[in-house]
Amino acid sequence: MKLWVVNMIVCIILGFGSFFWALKTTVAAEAKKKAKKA
Amino acid sequence: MIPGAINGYEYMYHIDFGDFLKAKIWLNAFTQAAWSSGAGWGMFHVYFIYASKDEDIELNAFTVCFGDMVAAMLAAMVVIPAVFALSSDPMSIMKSGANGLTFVNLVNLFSHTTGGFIMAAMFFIALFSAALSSVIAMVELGCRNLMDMGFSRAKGTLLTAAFFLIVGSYSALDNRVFENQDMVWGVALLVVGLLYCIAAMKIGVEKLWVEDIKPCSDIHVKWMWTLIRFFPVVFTIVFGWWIWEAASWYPGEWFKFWPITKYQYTPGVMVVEWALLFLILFLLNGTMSKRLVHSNKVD
Repeated sequence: MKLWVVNMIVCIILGFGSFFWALKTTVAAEAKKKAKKA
Repeated sequence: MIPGAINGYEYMYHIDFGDFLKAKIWLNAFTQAAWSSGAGWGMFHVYFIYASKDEDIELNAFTVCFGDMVAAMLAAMVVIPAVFALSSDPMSIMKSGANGLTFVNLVNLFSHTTGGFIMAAMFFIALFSAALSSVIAMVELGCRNLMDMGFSRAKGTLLTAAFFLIVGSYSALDNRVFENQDMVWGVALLVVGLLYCIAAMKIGVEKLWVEDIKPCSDIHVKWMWTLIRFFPVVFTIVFGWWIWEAASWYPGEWFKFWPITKYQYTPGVMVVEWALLFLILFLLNGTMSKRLVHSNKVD
């Protein structure tokens, strides 16, 4: 596999993976806070 | 996929290992992060005013940085392959820089493409929306400071907008001035970051973690916060390296600054512009602090 393709895959996985993980954690944390308040 | 688009991806993700030895590449990456995430601007001051007290600092910082990076990557993955697919000479377009690409070459490209009008309209509406969302926080940054000094919101907004209009017009009228301002204040954002970092170390990195960050954080990644200790070292290496390299671009003239359209990237022009701002703020310091103390009734 060409180096640029490997780089593209790594960038997409790291970038999107980290972002969606943070988003998921935020949603979970907000739900927890709401549940606590209720 | 449109034929030729794959070359755009190759251009985007191609690695030239020689680039890692160029100070400008590191400095550009550094300043891009400071500009784009708004960290160097101190926009978090604005966000914190309107955020709730238990807002997760670490998770928000993480989401903002990766969200910003992902949005930029996504935009590039749409625009760059389109340029390579639709243009007969994509490399000259890419070499024209961000401004040349956005405001000259993409417009040309859209005007010669079937359905280009709709694509252009969608592209510029998206660009305008992105710019507007950034400008709201930028104006609020200036306006909020003025409000803290006792100005009304209307006056604060008008003064900030007038300041942006006057200072920004020079960059809008001449791309060489824009390039100079982009570099000078881009690097200045790193200096601001350095000042924040020194302040954090003075208060205590551990103390800030225990008292302010950890209690309202859901991810508890301490090492990520403690990386702030390395910032002065990273800053000194990248900035010093860049000064040394920039001086070599202007042999015997690295200290010159006028006209800035000629000496856009000299270390001299950067120091003079920073010194000018420092002088203005120094002269206004007394007045600003008096207004802040008076308006907020603090001792």
